[in-house]
Amino acid sequence: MSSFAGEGIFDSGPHRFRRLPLGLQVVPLMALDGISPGSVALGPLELIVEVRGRLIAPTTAALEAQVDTIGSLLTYPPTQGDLVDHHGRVYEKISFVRFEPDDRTDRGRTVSLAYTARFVRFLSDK
Amino acid sequence: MLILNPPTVQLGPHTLEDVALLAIDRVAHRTAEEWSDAGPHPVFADVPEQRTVVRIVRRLERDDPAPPLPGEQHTLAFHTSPNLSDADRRRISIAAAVVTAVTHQVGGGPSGRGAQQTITLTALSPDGASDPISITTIADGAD
Repeated sequence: MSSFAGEGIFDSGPHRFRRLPLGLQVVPLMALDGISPGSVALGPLELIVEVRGRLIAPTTAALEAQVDTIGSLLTYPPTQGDLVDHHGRVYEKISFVRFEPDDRTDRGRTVSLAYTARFVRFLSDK
Repeated sequence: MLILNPPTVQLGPHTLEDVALLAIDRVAHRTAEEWSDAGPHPVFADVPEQRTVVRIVRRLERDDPAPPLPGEQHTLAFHTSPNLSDADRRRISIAAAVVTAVTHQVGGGPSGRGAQQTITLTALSPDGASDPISITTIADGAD
């Protein structure tokens, strides 16, 4: 079981966690001044966690209700909470910033929708 | 589903005789499969897109100058029963099927001189959700 802000918002179907690269934000100097070669490290990358999975429901209406619930968390300022993966790892004070459904709703034995959800821990929140 | 030696098969205006077999295959066109973070095995599988393919295999004993053509859409209907009586007869029909291939195998008969024609069709659902294959039981003595 996983959770975000104490709610198992993705628990209707399988989902996996992925951390995006760690390290430094490096930009070409050319992008800053237009003439200089090389690059410069501006600071640490933000922690970004992606959740990829599939919401599953018995009906289209039930699936849309799940999407609406998730969508209600995509607020501005962003909803912040602890994201807990299947193995108990906690990403503290992380913000839910994006929910991207796949290009189609799958209607077979079940009604399901693949998605990618993105969470960011902004540097200002560290 | 495999039907051996149906008496006749009606494909739109084409009355197909000498049908050796009619096979209805259902295959996944696309599968939705998911794995979890817990281990190597899939935890979810579904078939949101599937295809129903009908193959009609005929023994040709004479010329067949006007077979169905790829792209034609017809109704398909035939009867089947466990024996030659009227008992337990069933009518199997497809409201719309599109011919995708008509091929011939020559010299495949027992004498080495026969020919075999295979007509392949994709069955269409009227609304995307209903099964394209309709099976109805026929009362004894009815057509």
